Amino acid sequence: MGNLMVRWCRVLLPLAWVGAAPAQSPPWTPPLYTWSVVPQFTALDIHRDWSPVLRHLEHVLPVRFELALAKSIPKFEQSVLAGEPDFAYLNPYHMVKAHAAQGYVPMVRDGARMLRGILVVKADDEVHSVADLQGAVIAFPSPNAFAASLYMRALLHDTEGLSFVARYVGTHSNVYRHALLGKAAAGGGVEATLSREPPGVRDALRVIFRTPATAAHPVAAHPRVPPSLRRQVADAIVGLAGSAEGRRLLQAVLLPRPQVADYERDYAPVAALDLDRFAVPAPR
Amino acid sequence: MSARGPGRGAAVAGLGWWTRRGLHAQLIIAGAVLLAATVLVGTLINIAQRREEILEDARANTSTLAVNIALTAIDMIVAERYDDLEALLERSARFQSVRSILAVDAHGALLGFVVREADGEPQARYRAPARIERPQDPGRRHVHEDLAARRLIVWQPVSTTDLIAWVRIEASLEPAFAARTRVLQQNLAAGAGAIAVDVLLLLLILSGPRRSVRGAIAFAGRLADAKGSTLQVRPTALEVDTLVRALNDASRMLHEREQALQKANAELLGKERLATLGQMAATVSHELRNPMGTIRNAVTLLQRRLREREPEVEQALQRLVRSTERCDRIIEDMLDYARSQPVHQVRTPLDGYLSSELAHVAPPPGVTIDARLAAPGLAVMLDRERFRSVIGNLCDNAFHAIEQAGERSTRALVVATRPVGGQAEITFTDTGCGMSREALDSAFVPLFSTKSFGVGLGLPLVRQILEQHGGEVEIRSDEGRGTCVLLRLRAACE
Repeated sequence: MGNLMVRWCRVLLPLAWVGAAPAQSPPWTPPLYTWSVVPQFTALDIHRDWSPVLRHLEHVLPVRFELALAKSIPKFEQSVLAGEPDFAYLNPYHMVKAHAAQGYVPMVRDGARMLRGILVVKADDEVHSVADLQGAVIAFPSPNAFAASLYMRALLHDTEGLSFVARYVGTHSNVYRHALLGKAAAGGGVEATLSREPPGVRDALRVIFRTPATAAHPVAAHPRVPPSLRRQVADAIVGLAGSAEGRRLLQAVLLPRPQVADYERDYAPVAALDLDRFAVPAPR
Repeated sequence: MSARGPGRGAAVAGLGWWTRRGLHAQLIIAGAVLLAATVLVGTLINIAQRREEILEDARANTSTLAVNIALTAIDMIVAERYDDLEALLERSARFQSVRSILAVDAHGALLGFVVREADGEPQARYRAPARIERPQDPGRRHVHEDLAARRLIVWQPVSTTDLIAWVRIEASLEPAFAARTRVLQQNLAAGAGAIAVDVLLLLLILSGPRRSVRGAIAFAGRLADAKGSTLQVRPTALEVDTLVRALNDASRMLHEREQALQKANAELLGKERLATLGQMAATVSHELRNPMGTIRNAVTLLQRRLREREPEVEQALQRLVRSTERCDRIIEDMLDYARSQPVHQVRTPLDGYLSSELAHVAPPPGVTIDARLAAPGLAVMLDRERFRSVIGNLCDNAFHAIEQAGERSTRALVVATRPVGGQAEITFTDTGCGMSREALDSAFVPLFSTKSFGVGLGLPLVRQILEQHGGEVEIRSDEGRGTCVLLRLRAACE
């Protein structure tokens, strides 16, 4: 009798499970957030460096991230001012503008070094000071790239009294190539991006001018992102520095020593520079 | 005498380098040289083909790469994205054999330059290499092979409607030359292996014939002492086997001729001795004839005077007469044999001649002559006088043998004739004591006799006369039972 019951159970239980299956709810999928990065490097470099960081965050947080790659810095600026990305890695000027336009909140920034714009020329050129660039063509990544372009142009114009022709070439890497190939007499960049260039590029360039240091690029979040998630993301990024592998990932995205950012402390001074005079509004 | 044969060292000293090698070494050297030449020619052809294939591949691959770079780079050049262009050139420079990629604008200003040394990482350079001359015709791709520098240079124009830039790729042709070296090494290794196998196979194949030839050479060297012995024939090669068989035949022939020569020498020696003896016998016989005639005349006179007076004396005289006749016979035989007079043959009916001659033969008491003449009409060419000696000698021998055999139921001599082919056979068959083996072997040896009174010239004289007639004589004897003497004579033509 007992055996008969067991046999019936073996037959009926799978049938009951099959019948009950359509009534189950679909599997839960984590919410998806977009993550945009200022394209001061090539899209390939950005994808290569940021994808591992986002995969790590997905691993420790119940969310998914989609890397949004802008074709140029103006396009990026346009998307940020429109509030499109949920998270953005952007320069301090963009941070100020995005804060003002959409209320983006900085979460973490690099604490190892401050952001400093540099003006480079070919190492074997006869240019030794900013004054030698009077009337020359100078390459910049984009009009509103903060330290490399905006802050630099403001200083060259206001402080150095230099008259020059600005050529916007898209990326920091391209700025350096323009200077090296003689397409521009000089180029505006930042120390962090120059340090990432191959030795052949670094050795062939010479820095003739530096901007004062400001807080580095932050990772900012749109206000629609829940504060708890913002905190979790910031903690996760800061926590990456606790391991060698994590430090390697952070080094690649120019956040070698991440620390929690504060808008008033870090980026309000940038707003006080009144750089809008040199900014080019993003196309609509 | 060495095992290799007589005078090999002296023979070798007179030969040229090639001839001195020997057949097996010549075959091995010729085979190796032929194979080496084949391998060399094949290798050269293979190298040429392989090198052309690799050159063609290099041309096609480099041209394709140049076209791809041009198509991809055109946007970057127009947009002045030199960082992207550099990345493109770096990626492209990772292709095998690429040494450098250069991009210059239509005026020759540098746009990008990537160099890859050996198998290292591509390195960007920001100074154009010296002495770069752009092609004059922007309407097509330019491919230039610099074999001395082992490089291939492709200039690819980057154009829309107008020329925007040039892409120059320099590719290494080392793989083509390395392939040539590799093919050379592989072919030479394979060729050396083939030559080694060829030499080993030839050594293996030729070892048998070589051993046989060496054996034949040694055998030929001692052929004079071989005494008819033969060399073992090993199945190695047709020519060698034929040579060995020919040597064996030569050995046998040499031995036979040596034996014949020895026999001829012995006969010649005997004949010379007999000739000397014959001359002496003839002289003695001739000198004895006169005394014998005197004795015979004296005996006849005594017989006439003392007949019927002294019977005992008469008997003694008769014995004396018979002895005298026997002496005459011996003297005649000796003279006949020694003189070897030429025969004068005339056509003679055989049976009639024999019947006539046998009628004059007086057999001993109790012995009969049975003439079974069965060749009527058969004629032979005979010297009738000399052939009479043959009949007399054979009858005397038969009668003596019959006497020696003692009393028998049949004491007869059968003389028979018969035609056999173009010959006449005459047999004298007696029922005597026969002949021993030794007597049979020496029957025709002059001066050999088993008779107490004979000088041993009867049968030699018979053979001499038969040979002079172109015939032959043969004796068949069964000791204790009798003897048959067979004479063969050519039949006379009609």
